Amino acid sequence: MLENLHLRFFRNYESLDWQLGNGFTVLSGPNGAGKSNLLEGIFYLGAGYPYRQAQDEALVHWGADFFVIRGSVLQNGLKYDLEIAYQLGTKRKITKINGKRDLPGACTACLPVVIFSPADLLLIQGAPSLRRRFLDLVVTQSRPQHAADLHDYSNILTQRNNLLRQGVFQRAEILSWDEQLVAVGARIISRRLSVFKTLMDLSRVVFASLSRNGELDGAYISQMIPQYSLEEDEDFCRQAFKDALERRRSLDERLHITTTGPHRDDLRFFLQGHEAQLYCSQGEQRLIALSLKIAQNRLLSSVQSSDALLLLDDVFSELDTVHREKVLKELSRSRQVIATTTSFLEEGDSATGQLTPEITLYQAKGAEWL
Amino acid sequence: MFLYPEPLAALVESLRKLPGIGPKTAQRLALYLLHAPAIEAEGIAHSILEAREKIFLCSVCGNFTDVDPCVLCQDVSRDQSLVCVVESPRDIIAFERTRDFRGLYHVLHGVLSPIDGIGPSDLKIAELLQRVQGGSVKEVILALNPNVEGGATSVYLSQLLKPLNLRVTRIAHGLPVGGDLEFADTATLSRSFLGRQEL
Repeated sequence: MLENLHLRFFRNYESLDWQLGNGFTVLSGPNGAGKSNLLEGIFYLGAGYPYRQAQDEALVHWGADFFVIRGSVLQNGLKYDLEIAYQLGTKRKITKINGKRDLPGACTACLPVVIFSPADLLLIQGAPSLRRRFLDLVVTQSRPQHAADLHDYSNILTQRNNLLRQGVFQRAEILSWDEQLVAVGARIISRRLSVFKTLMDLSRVVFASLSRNGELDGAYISQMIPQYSLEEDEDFCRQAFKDALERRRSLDERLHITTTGPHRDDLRFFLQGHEAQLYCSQGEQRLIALSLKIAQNRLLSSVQSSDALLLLDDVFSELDTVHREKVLKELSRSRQVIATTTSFLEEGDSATGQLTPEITLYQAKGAEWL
Repeated sequence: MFLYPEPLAALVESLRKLPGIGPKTAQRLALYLLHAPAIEAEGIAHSILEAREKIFLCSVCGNFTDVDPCVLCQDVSRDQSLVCVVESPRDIIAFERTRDFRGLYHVLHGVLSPIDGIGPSDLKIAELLQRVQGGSVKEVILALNPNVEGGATSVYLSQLLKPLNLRVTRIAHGLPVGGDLEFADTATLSRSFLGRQEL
């Protein structure tokens, strides 16, 4: 868990020192107080890359020419000092663990972190590419080889599409790219299926405790097989992908693109058997997205065999009181959660401190609020 | 802004075209050539011209040579039934350093890459097919780089070669000899599991 955080010239913080507690921490304050920036800093420290695809330059405090994020982490009884520093002039980013320089992203092993933000509603409503990216991230967190395969796959795909665009080629030529595509693609699909199954098992349990009604379900959709009957066995995926490429060869040649494969797959979520994207309310969709993120957090925790930090940006908006309580209760199981809100806390909740003049801290251990 | 007199500028620009040479190195080399005794500069110019004039591609294997067929292809002590297919002449030099491979070579001069507009007709593939149809070749070893393009080219060649009743093999992928498991990258390590061998 994260024990303390130091921000210097990061976003709207000139300088901030914060001793964090375990359990559930809520940051409450008006719009623009810097609540999300704080989560952004913590996420950056753990993940090694900025959240919301922000540019490093944009993260530097106005008028300053560098930023530093520093944090102490206690993980499995060992203490780590993490630091990420960025210099505006040289555009250099330096990652340090216990004072020693390390690769960007190396901090993930010490501070595994998952963030939920209002934008994650797009996991349900948005384009399939967002769902693929989410699943691929979850897969990569538990099977690192996945990242290399995705990279290879995209290279092979570009080559194959270029060949299709040329229009004139021998059959043997396209087959040689197909064989590579199928070999790497099958590994990608099989890993995705196996991780997605675990993720859905966890999400289903989380969703059941978050929501009053309904059972969550999810399916991995692939054009390779019209029914939802893909198996995670790699040989099965290889054969299915190979057959699909064969079946769609003339279509691919006509359209000059590869119309089937893991780059075209999608995830679909169902509530009580009804497709969430079409039939669920905004609030329900938010709960589904939240369940997926909490499941990702639990999966990451079990992979790293230590509790991953969960950051929740504006999690309580659009939720009624009953659901807020359920969310709070579910999250009280986690070791360390940091959430932001503009409105959630009511009279009677006792603040435990003032982080900045605008941001008030509330701290709870277990189900204190309930 | 004045930098170089024109002939010097032309020299710097020419040197910059060489692989691995940036603007600063080009400038350093050009100034060196001007400082050095005239005979040295002339010697370099002469070597370049002579190499260009006398070196050509072997009509059999496609390697650089000054005699046709090249010394490797002429060497009767080499196993004429083995042909190792490589991407570039550089790879032959690497294999020859081992002194273990005693067969013949075939240089493709590139690999398939539709992005760069390189197709089968841009490579020495027709020459390879013609060569192995003579009947003396029993095995073709594909020794291309273990990347996406090398892999696709290997698959392509194997499709063409297998119907000709040849043994088609590929060099192994996996851990470097004398290496440390600890320092191997994840891609190599997982590849080495795929290519494991029974003892």
